[in-house]
Amino acid sequence: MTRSLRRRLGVTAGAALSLVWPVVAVIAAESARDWLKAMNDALATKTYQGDFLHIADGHIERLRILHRVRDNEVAEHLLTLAGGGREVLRINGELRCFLPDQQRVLIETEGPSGGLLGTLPSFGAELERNYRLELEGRERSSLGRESRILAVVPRDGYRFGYRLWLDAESKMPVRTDLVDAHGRVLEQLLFTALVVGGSLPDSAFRPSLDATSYTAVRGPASRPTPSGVALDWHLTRVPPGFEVRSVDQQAASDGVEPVTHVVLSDGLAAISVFIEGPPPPPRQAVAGQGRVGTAFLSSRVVSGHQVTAVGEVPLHTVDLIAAGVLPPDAPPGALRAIEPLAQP
Amino acid sequence: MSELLNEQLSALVDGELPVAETALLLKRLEREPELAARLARYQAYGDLLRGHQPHASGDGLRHRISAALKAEAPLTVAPDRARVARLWTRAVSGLAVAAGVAAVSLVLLQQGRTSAPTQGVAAAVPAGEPTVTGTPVQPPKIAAAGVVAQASTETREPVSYVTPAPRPRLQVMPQAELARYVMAHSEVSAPLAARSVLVHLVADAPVAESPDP
Repeated sequence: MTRSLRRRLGVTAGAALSLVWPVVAVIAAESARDWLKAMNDALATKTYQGDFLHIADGHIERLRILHRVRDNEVAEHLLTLAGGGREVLRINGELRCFLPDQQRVLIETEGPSGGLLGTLPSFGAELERNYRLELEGRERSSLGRESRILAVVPRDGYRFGYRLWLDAESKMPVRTDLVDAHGRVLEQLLFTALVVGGSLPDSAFRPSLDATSYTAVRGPASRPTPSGVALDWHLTRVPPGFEVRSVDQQAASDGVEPVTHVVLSDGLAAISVFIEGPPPPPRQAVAGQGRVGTAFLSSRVVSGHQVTAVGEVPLHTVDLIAAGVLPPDAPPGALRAIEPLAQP
Repeated sequence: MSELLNEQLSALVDGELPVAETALLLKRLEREPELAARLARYQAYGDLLRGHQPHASGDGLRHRISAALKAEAPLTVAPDRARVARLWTRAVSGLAVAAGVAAVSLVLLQQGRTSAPTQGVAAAVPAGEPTVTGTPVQPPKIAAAGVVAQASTETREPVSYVTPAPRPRLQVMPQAELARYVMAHSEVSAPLAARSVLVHLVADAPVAESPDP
């Protein structure tokens, strides 16, 4: 073969590859998006029960989840297998978290969105702007079944990513690794037993502990009023990729201003911003930070109001948003435009 | 740590442990945090052997992983040659399958352009018959009231870029307040994230409340 022929073949092969490669990439991305959507649908619409390990922060715990979808209503029961620990029940649009260590039960009523089934992400083009979706191959899962590995890689440090082992048949995530932008694994959920389908009796959705003496505490978004209210507060520091999706106003307890609940999303991760009026004495609005697992919170006191940003995103993301919330009467000079944000 | 236990942990991660042994091992994992930490490491090292670490790279990472492996010589991946060969074979065959899938996808795309649109994965999900995997799950048993879950343990886990690393607990806000907001937020989260948040509410060891700042 002559040198010129080899060169021509090389150029032709390169040109062919450059034409085909974008098509391959698009196919791969769409296929990954299909898997992500199938998983989301499975989680929200299938009845299932399973035992899984939760590994995070050097701890490991065995948990059980029972999830029933019947007549478009979701019932869910989450509890530790150690017994007597905390439990979460979601029945008919009401979420109850039993805290035996505090003798309290937290009650949250779902908003007008219709709860879990009404909030499925659409996985549109914006998802691709904020995350890279990759199908990484096939592997036998901890259940001994074939699974497909899907990586949801964040494009910047304002959000977390996932690596998911999706059961090839049911599309359920049988192993979930939550990772940060550097690939560090923050938590793992690993199913050791899973039954998808069938039916679950009502008795499966009763607390396994006696909570009759517990104090009931209602959450900030209870007793919702119709949504679609205008947001008169200002969100001046919103990281790239996040947009306001909804603004609801919910009645709080008697004599207290309604709670404004702003939801931001980047197509996958959601962040809630709660703006609450001054609490009745002796309570006071407090500033601070917190974390429950992979959900981070940042609270500020702004004009006497309690402003809290919470989401399954890094602390600096919710911190940034909370710090940029300004009251309706903020002077024009304070409403500075969103400056380019440094990469965290 | 016996060789048998190492093999069992390894088999659990690979999905090769018999159901009866799995149940016994899981009970032991609850009692022995060191064993649980080792399970996490086995998963991590298994991932590395299979090449599932695309997000972190560089010599620094290699050195740290190699140091972690050396520091834990008796505990970590010292699998037999056959096992390593099996893992590599699996990885290589995975690549071959992926290449095959890519080729088939191209063909399907071309067919789709001339006939009906290609069906997504969601459409391929079988409906109707329940899918049964793993061991059956019994309905929750009634437990004694007022017993608090105990999950606070110390581990001697080395610094790792793969296993969930311990992070400082931010507990500036009172815990009940945190839970209140997280629960309200979970209503607007995607199902996967919502599940994760609720799991943490249940799994997090009770922490003494700190005074309001």
